[in-house]
Amino acid sequence: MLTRQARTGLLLVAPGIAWLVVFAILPVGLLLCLSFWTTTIFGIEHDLTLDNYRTLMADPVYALILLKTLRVSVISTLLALLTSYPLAMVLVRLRGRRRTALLLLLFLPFWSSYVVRSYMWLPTLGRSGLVNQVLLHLGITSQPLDWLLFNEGAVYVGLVYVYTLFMALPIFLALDRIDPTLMEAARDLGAHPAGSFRRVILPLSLPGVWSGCIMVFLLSIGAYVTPQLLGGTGGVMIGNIIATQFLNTTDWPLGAAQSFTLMVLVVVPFAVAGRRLGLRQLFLGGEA
Amino acid sequence: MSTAWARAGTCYAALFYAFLYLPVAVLVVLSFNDSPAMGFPLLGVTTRWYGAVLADRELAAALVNSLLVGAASATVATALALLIGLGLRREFPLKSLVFPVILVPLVMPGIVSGVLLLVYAGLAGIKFGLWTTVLPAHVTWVLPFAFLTLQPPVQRLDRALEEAAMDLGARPGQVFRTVMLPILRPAMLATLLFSFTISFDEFVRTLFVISSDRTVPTYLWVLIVERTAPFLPAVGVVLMILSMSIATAGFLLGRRNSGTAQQEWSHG
Amino acid sequence: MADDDIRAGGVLRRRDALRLAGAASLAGIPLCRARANETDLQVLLPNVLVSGRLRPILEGAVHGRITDAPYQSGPDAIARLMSPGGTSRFDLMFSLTDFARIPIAGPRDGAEKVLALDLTKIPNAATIGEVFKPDIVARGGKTYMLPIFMGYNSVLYNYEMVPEHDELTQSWGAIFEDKYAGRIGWFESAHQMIFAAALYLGHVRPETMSNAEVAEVGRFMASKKKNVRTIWTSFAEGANLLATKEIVVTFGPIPVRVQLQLQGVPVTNAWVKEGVESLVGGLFIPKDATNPEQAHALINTILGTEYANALPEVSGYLSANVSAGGGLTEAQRMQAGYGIYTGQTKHAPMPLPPNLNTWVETWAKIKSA
Repeated sequence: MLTRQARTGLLLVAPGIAWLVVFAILPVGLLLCLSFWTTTIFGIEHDLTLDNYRTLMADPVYALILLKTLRVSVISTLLALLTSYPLAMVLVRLRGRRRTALLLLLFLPFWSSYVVRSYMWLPTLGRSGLVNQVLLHLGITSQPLDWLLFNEGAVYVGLVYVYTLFMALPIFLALDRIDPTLMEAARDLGAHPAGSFRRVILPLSLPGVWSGCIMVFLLSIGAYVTPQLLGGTGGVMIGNIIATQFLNTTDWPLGAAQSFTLMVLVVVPFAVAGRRLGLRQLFLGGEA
Repeated sequence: MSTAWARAGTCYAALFYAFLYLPVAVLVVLSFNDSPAMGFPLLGVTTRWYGAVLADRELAAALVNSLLVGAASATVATALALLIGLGLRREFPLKSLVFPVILVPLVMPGIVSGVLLLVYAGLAGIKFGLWTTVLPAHVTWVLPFAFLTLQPPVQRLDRALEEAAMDLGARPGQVFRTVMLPILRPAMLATLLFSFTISFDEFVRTLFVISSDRTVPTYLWVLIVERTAPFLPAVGVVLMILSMSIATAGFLLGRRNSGTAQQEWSHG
Repeated sequence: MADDDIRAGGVLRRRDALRLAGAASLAGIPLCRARANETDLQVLLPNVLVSGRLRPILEGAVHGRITDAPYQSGPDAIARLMSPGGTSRFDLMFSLTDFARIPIAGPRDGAEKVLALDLTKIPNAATIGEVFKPDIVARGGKTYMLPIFMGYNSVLYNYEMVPEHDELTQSWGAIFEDKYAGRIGWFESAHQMIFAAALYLGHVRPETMSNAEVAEVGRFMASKKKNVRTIWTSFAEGANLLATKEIVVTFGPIPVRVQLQLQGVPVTNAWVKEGVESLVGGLFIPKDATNPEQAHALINTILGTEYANALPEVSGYLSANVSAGGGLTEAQRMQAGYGIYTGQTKHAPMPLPPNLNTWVETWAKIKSA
């Protein structure tokens, strides 16, 4: 029999979960079915087969791209974390108008529309772009620098730029909740600023940090527009492969197999690591 | 707080915002560039791109659609995320499945979500439309973000306050409205704004399920895929000015009414 | 702290309300457009076909509004037609004839996904030239798809920086060999890029390449990848790269050249000696379309003289109506590509390779090398 608490809990999560079942879980089921079908020139055949998965395992190129995607995603997440955390700390110390203004200024670039934003890197980092022109004008360089754009470094710049908000906001909210008296208490007990950061602030901000990292990591895994735009010939990630499969061929079942494999490979480590890192505690709470 | 740290912090923030606004500065400069190439060198100053943007009725319609869908999906997603968050404060069977389920839309690549929704709508006989297919696509996409942003603050709500209120005779609804909501307000507003921003930018999924009503990103995407769009920088600037105006207007109004708001406040 | 949060709360609450209010007042704009008694045709075709001057020509002919959904590619249009509910979503659809030919007619009579076209409603079909006849999709006396234009891909280059009469420029080699290293652009399309490389390497009919031959072409391309500045996807991106001189030579569909020239950028296309890649696009009407009458009228207008003459100016595509371009001089006609009609300009049609998945996989390998 369900306790009253359990009943309330289930009732509260029901609307959200119901929505997700309809619009996310059932489609995943559809994806799984699709991955076992094949295409002929006349359309999709519904007979079940493992051919698509066999194709994926036959050629190492998929595994290579997947590994590269994971590597880029991990590094992007770390870079985003390292750049956004200090910013969140600075913002949290502000009050009143300045805080609101700087928060809004953080959002503002993201209201110019993604499509617009992604095109601004070429005029910024390109051969005839702003950075190069300034460097030439100041005499620091005599030739435009080629390596500012169209390589893996540029991809990191682009991804971190696009995902800054996703990392900074949850960390900011988490830091905001920390009672300032805790900091005073730590100081009174003789703690060094670095120590009180490590022992007091960091642990309390961890839920926000995890939120940000999860968002940025998962977004990076699926990213393909930004890496393609900025990465030159080396910008291919798994999102690009899947996009091509769906957009330029009619073989959606193979694309479905690629996507399902990607999802499993991403979610499973999460499930395992999550338990060990205490993510469940952070997000599912339960204890008072 | 020692001033050395404070100064370092200010320095860092300045650098950070400079990085954030570098492309924006390029955007503004290029929007006046009298050149067909969307880039340097500057060939002359012109306002014709702004003329093109402001005369573009389809863009205006797309903007309205984006605003409406954005507001709607932000509201629905935040509400659902809040409910889930509150529910997770209790124990119930199958609770550990909730988190993975919420992450599914985030883990699925955008194109795949779009294609699946297309097939879905086809199977169910649903016609494509702004409110029939685009809105569900946006809400589903935004929900994990709303959840991940709202959840830590919801988790940290002090149960003692809840219990104290109930001991004093308040019903659960009252407890929520008078104790929890005020504490959550900043986080909720941030989540609403964040969700709106995400919906405003989303186009990959929408491309597959859109019919005649465009949103801003899909409208722009179609333009750039098949044609050049030299007025793109001007579009970006106009969008930002619009958003900033609304924000500033809202801020000024908020300041004037801050007296009343103060009375609603209970505990920080 | 309470004060600041109030203000933050007040600000952010107001802004959402204002946003909605502003939106509601602006909502008057879209509502004004649709007039009563006007049909609204839902079509899936490249946006450029209904852009600029072309749209009024078409909307006038059907006395209605044309709403085009975002077109992604030839294969994508077919995939959408095949998907559940795909035969009733649009009144008119476009795809490349080589991709559409077999799927739309279905495996046998009665299993078609499209309507048989009533040619009495499309008198302009008589203007379709000889070079396009193979692209009329018909079976058992019924016509399912009519070609409407031919587009072509070639080497695009900045003629201020790349000599026009150089042998390399007038060859696909321009985008592979080392001469323009670091300033070359490739286009994000497995089929079209590998096809171009295959033509350069001497394959006369690349669509017949075996898996081993495709792999060999792939290895060649991977070895030349170091010369490539970037691989671009959208027209705006490619045009931008050329116009800012980030690249000086690139693989490019003809609309990119046309649009850049319209804006005064010094770019033109080469007539590569191995043959430009030609693609024929056509229209078909899905089986359960809501407005088949209007769709027929639309096809007819597109094949009509007015549209046919305007099409190359806007997009560079050459109409299937071979009387188009009649008012141009010989030099202008060659410039526009009409030499393809008469065989004076070498072109390589691009039928669907049976092992397309190998091509796609090879492209992935090239990119990740």
